[in-house]
Amino acid sequence: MSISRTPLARARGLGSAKSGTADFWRQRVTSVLGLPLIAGAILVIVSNIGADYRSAIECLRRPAVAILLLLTILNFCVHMRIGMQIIIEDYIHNETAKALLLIANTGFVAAAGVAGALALVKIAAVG
Amino acid sequence: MKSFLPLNWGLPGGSRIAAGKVFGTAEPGARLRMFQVYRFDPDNTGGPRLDTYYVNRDDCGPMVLDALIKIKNEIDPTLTFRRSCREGICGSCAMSIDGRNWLACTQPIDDIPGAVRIFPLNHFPVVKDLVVDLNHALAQHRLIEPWLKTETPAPEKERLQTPEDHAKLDGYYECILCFCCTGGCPSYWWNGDRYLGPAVLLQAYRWLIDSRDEATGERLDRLEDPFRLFRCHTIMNCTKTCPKKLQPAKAIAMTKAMLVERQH
Repeated sequence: MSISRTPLARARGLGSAKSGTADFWRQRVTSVLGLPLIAGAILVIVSNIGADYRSAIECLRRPAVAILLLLTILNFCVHMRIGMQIIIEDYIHNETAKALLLIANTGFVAAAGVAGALALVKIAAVG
Repeated sequence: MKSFLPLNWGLPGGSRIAAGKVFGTAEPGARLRMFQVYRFDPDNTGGPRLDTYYVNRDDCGPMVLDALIKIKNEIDPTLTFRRSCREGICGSCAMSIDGRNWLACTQPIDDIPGAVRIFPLNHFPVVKDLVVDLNHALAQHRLIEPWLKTETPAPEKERLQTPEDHAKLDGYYECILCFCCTGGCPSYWWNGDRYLGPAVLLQAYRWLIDSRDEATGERLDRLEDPFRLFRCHTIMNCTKTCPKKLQPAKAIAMTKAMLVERQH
């Protein structure tokens, strides 16, 4: 015969993590900051339509453009990581699979962010 | 809101709903309404089924609960459901009616076109027919300690509150814990073991903003959790499906705002 825990013990579980607000707030901040950043990034892309390779590189080398695009990458990497983490926590209920996917999520965001940033820095510094 | 999905779409074997019995037929002349009601008997090895009843609308009260009581009294006494006050104040007869969680006692039959389809409240384990197991949800309600908490010794008379401070509770204290909202919340479906759900979080907010309460910080500590509170993704089903016209989604958003406020 199995004796199950009381409903209150089950509801209380492991208690409150006393965290989550930081991620919630960061997600809102990166949403709001993302609007002007993505608008600027689209402007850069549109202004380079039809431009040749040389002048496109010249455009990306301008400090204002490089900073804008770097900030855009950083902003959306943070936003993407939290967003995907929420989706994983929502739908993956196997603890091992959840842990592995959360690690993979961090790894993917780090790789994508560093690759994008490195490409921009290389263009800005070397051309 | 009719469901456009087939009845058994995505359901595991034991939960598939079979066609059930038909009680009486559509006799000509009488103003008959068809009711299709989910039936499940835990003592029977068979799975759930959908029984069909015909109720003479001229000989029945206006609400869905009136029809259910008429069915139980006159057609099929085995039909099991909870009900008590029959005027939207006890929260017992919450069920899924025509695709929406609502109180059977405040849902007019005539507002529903076609057959009236009635299922137990979404998500909760079914005990029998339209009766669901609310033990976990009620334990979650107990978890938030829904009572006035103070350290200051009680005054000689009652603890005073200005009319303005009391008005802040309007729209939050009226919750009758029918759990229509919690049963309608997808976040609760996926993570109801840890997510507290809209009904409990609305109650929690009601105590967070009570000017007489001295445990606001302690209450926020208890809620600040990626699962208990932050599983809410502002889907808003809760507010749509509240038969008391309250706004659980707003209460949860305000709770999140309080947590952000104390960080900055």
